[in-house]
Amino acid sequence: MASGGNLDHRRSRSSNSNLYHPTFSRAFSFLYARIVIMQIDVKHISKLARIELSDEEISEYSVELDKILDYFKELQEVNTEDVLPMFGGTDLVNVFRDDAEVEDFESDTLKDAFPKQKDSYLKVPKIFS
Amino acid sequence: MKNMTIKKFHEGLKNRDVSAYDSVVSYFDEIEKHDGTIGAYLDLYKDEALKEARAVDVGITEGRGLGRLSGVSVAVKDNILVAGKRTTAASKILKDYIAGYNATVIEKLRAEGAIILGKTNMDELAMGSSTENSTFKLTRNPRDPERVPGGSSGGSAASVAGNMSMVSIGSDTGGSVRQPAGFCGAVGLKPTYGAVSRYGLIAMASSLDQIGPITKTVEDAGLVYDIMRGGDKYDATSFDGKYGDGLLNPNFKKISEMTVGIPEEYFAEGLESHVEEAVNSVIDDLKEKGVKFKKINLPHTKYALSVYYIIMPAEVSTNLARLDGIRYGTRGSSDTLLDLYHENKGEGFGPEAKRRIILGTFVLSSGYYDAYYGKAQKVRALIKKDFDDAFDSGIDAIISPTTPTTAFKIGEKSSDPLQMYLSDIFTIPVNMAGLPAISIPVKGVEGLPIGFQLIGRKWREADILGLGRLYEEK
Repeated sequence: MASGGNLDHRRSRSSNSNLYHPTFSRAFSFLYARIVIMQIDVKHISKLARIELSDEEISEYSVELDKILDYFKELQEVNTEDVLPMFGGTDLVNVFRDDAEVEDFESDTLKDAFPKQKDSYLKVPKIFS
Repeated sequence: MKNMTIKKFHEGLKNRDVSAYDSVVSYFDEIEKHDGTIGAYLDLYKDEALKEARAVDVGITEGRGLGRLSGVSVAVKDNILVAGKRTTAASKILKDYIAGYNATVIEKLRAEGAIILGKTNMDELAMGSSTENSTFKLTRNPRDPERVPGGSSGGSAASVAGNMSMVSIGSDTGGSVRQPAGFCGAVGLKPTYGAVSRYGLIAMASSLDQIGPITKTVEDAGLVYDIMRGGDKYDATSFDGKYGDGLLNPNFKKISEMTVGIPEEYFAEGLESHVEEAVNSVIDDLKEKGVKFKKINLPHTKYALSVYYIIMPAEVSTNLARLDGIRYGTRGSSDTLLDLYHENKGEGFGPEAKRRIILGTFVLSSGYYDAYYGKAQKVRALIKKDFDDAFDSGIDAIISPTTPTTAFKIGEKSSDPLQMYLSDIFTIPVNMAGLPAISIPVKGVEGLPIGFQLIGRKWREADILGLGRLYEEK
């Protein structure tokens, strides 16, 4: 392992203003060369996510997201046998507080943000039509 | 004002060479002159800021001590809650939302006397790398108004780089503090995950988000960081980092004896040559000061973008579920609850937000969870392990470019989401590993700013701040 000295981290190559990291250029050619098999059912997903999408949005997102999903295929080549998944960003566990009543919030400030209210109750539409 | 730092400002205040009032007035003058073009701010708090500045000056004449940020003008990214003020995250769904409480960082900054000038523009709900996804306005790079300031904290970076605030704060999930800082020629620090409380930050991806300062100098970044950090009972992932004197007062002798790793994978084909040359000039500069460098490998680097664009949208889809127009936000008129959800979200979210919610919902959905999200979590662990192994091999920090290119033109990448995502390839792995990293402008660059990034071990902000100051000051 080199330390200091003459590191060959400089490489001479022609200036390239397009972004082609070797993996990414592989992915792009992958993209154009084959038929996309994986298809996200955007309409179904939009129902799960409770977002109304126009037909135009559905077809636009289908194309874009299929491209992105295709790019994800490279993950299959990584050997993750016996690797513990990383849940979250912290190593902390069991962050507790005392089991005591605490009142340090003025709920009125939150109620002020209710779009519709009556007698300081939040108004919502009926669940069934 | 162009070179005004917190340290210089406070010396001036103590010597009565400057007043807090005049300082705030001068920032609002710049805002009036230039922000019509630059578009950094969404909301301004001029009257309150001037009142607060007056109070600081009165305090000084009455012999009261200065808080560590007394009179310092701060611009705040609009996904950070300031009580009683509009907080929109640049999204239609929150366009009239008035925050009911202060974010913890706001409490901390104010406790030290900071003056908030207003809220800055951003990509909607922090989703983007150019601030072009803001629902409300465009922000231009103060160094070249035809170019983007970066994102998602573009407004915050533009306000500091455009001399429209002394310091600013933003949030960083995959580079959103470092990349705009790099594009605009400012310093941007992303702390260790958990170092700064996320309470009062509108959540994007909870396992990746951190609030960080954008400043003119590395020293200022360290100071603002020191004030914002700390364990918070309202954020169970936050933790009190143990720092000695070295955080704010680096031992430059020790710093100049450090070894910095150069990851081969970050200097591969595709890096713009002038960016590579600039980072090499930084390496040369630090070498002359005694710092040693060695090649390292981070073998899973190439998977970082895929892992990020699975995990982040998944967490986004969960966090944005609460933005349904029911308890707060913009509400439509549908008759039933289900229809109302569909309407509120369909109307309230912009295209990039919708794209990521759909992608995130998909990767978490039944039948696909293991192939995508489950797999991504494991590869994330491997990406983190790459960093751990590299640090264990005898290096103190890692150097890289902040971004592969300089600031691109407005509109250049906005039609191809994947192209846009690529601008974060050097910053993303850092959030995945939860490490601290800082972007610092390369000295002596003509034309568009170029930033280099230093990545440290967990809780070792002192190392990267120290190296940064060694480069900047010595």
